[in-house]
Amino acid sequence: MTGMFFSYIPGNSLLHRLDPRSKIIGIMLASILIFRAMSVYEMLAIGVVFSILFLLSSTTVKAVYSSVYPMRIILIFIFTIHLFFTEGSSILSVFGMNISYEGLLKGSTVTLRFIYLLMFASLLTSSTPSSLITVGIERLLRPFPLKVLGISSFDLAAMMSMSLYFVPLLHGSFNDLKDAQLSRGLDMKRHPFKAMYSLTVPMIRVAFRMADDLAMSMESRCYQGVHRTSIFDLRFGRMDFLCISIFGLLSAIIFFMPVLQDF
Amino acid sequence: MSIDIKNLIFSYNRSTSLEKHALNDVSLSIKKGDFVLISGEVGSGKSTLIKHMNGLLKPCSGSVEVDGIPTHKKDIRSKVGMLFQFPQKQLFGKTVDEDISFGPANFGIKGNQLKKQVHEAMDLMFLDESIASVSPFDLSGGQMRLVAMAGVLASKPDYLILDEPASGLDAKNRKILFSILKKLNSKGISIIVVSHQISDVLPLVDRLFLIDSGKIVFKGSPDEYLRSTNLYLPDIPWIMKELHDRGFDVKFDIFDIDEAFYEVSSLLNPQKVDEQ
Amino acid sequence: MIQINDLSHRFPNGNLALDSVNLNIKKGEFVVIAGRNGSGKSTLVRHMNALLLPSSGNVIVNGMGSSDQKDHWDIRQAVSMVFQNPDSQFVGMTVEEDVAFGLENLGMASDNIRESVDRCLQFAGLSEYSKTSPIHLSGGQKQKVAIASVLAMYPECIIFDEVTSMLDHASCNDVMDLINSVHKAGKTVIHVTHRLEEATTADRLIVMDAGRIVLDDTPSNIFLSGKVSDFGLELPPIIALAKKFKDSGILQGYLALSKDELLEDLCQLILKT
Ligand SMILES: Nc1ncnc2c1ncn2[C@@H]1O[C@H](COP(=O)(O)OP(=O)(O)O)[C@@H](O)[C@H]1O
Ligand SMILES: Nc1ncnc2c1ncn2[C@@H]1O[C@H](COP(=O)(O)OP(=O)(O)O)[C@@H](O)[C@H]1O
Ligand SMILES: [Mg+2]
Ligand SMILES: [Mg+2]
Repeated sequence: MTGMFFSYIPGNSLLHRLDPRSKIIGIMLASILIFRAMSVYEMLAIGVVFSILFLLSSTTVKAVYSSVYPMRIILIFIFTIHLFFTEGSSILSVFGMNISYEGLLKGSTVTLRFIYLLMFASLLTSSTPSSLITVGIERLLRPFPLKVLGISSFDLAAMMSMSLYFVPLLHGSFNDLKDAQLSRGLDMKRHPFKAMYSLTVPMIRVAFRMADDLAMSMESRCYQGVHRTSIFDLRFGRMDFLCISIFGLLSAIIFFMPVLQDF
Repeated sequence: MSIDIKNLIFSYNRSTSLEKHALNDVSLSIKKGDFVLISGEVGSGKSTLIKHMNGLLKPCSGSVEVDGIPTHKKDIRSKVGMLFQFPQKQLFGKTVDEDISFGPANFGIKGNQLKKQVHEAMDLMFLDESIASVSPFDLSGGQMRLVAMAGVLASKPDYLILDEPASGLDAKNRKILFSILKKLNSKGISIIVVSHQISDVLPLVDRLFLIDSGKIVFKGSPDEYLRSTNLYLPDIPWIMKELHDRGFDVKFDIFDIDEAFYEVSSLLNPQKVDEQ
Repeated sequence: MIQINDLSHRFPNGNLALDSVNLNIKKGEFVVIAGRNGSGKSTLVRHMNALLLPSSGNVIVNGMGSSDQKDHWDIRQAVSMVFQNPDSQFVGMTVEEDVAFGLENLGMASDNIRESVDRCLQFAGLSEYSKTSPIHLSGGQKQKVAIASVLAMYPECIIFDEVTSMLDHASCNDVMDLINSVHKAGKTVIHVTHRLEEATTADRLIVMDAGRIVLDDTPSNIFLSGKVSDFGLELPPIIALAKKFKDSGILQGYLALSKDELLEDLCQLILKT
């Protein structure tokens, strides 16, 4: 189950064939809608849009479910917080705490928003390899003046793709180190401060060492952080144009739904 | 006094989709004072096995006992010292002295006794008293390794386990390491060396365990190993065995270069060698 | 192709890691550099692709001096390097992306990158792993990916800095086979190691000690000279045995460098007497 959490599922659906940039833009539009959505109608409309996209992808219900399910604790937490701490007309009282109608409504809305976000994100990740997402983000960021922050969009993309490899690697090193200090009698409960110290000092050294090695390997392969090409050829084709237009139109309709209802 | 493992089964990430069987029905016993080698390919389960010997891992089924104490019941880490691959990584102290004291202090040794044990451990590793107040990070890679080893020995373990201790060492440092291990063994400490390479260590050990895909596939003395038919042999025994198999009259349980030379020369020219 | 004149290197903390080294490496040579831990091997080879710059003396690669900053990229393209630690030289999420990394830096077009990557992965016998994450590879496979990654940049010379020292026996042989075929494909190969059995197929063996080159000859000559033990190295058992037979006059001719050769020599000899 854990293995499927936001993972890529190979396939050849329409969603798979789209340029990653279209999908990233799509996700961004969808998130704007989701965070603006208040009424049941808007929520329903977003649900319909998701269903259409879901049918256009070869994603499975299980894949979507396993991207949302691991987050259940957080979702339940968000829901309860709103449930108990929103002021309004009380409908029920549990352990001396009031549950209001407004709280129930707000809790459901906010929780549903998060669920929608996770669901849309799972559409992106299940139809796009993480490498293409990185390339897509890099291309979209390229026109922005990141230089002021002292990095280039290339640095950012390189960092993103490397972290996917290095986080598990550092995690492994940390476990090895923990084993070594435990073998020397370290008791984390009795001496938490000493434990922190004996783990962080070597860990920092390991991380620096790795960063050093990596920098050397990048430098000897002529990395300069300036213009580079990619093994992945991104083509913003007619299909992308069409899809983004339709999606944009749909989004606009949902976006202005509250306004339209007033008429 | 011994480490006894009976029918040990272990999987990583038990009952998840990432479950990984690492040890399958392993039984073995290592007596106090033994010098043993545990060998096998990378990924065969050697590290997983030794992590059971000081309770870092607990068996899924089966039992692991150190001197009769089950590892899941009581902490036996002061009895079993463990040195991991590239042990210099574990150093953290502001001074060499602080780092070496870490282990014994955790096990409740204090005051003069602590000083004495640190001093003895440094002596065993040929570390000069003058570096005690130096930062371990100012030392050379080789010296850092020795400090790390002293840090484990300072707790005076009865059993010393070393995971791939020779990796990355050149010939001379390897020789020094093995002579230190022999010396420790002669003081009565059991030495358990884990190595994917057999030839270096085999001549030193009393017993050898070969592990493959989580199963013990050979247990026995080095002689028994050389006489076994279907296992990978180091080069010198390989040559002798090939000669033997081709019908030449030579002993084949030989590691030593001089011995192998003598054996073949005497076959070629019996009188001349005898005269020498 | 690589010319080193009177090169010394002093690290900022005062360590003199190289002391007046002179060396000339010809195009197409297979050179092994051996020496005990800390003898200066890595420091020397890092000068050959401008990762380090001389404290004094100079390094000239294909006529370009490493002291000129603007030639660094050309030097690094001509002379590539594979490092010791299989874990810390990956920059891609998948094997193919890692192999593509250098070419992307050179600004090559996607189609051409794809073609080179596929060719190099095939050469290294890794085609089936192109979409795999490096996390799932063994140490030997990781080193082969690293080799494919530098091959993709089409260098004239590849430096292997102790690439086998963290591998087990079987992977080590695999990687050595790949290094040998890289040499056969016409590349200049510089292989750093402290295991002398890896020098048997080389044209030339250089032994370093305390920042200096102390021996420089064919592997056989150096093995026969019996000097390697003075510099913290050890002859592989099989070669030590072969040398003993040769020194005592029992075996004549070439020094046997592999166990099969020695076995053959001994069998013939025994059958003759
Ligand atoms: N922390 C872990 N989580 C999951 N699997 C592991 C872990 N550590 C080791 N393994 C797996 O267990 C098997 C045995 O590993 P290990 O004991 O490290 O072998 P060795 O030390 O002989 O190289 C390998 O297949 C390895 O992939
Ligand atoms: N970054 C550094 N700073 C200071 N001294 C160093 C550094 N790198 C290496 N040295 C020293 O230079 C010498 C040669 O090191 P190195 O070239 O890595 O040797 P080898 O590769 O042969 O093991 C050693 O004495 C080492 O301690
Ligand atoms: Mg291991
Ligand atoms: Mg080195």
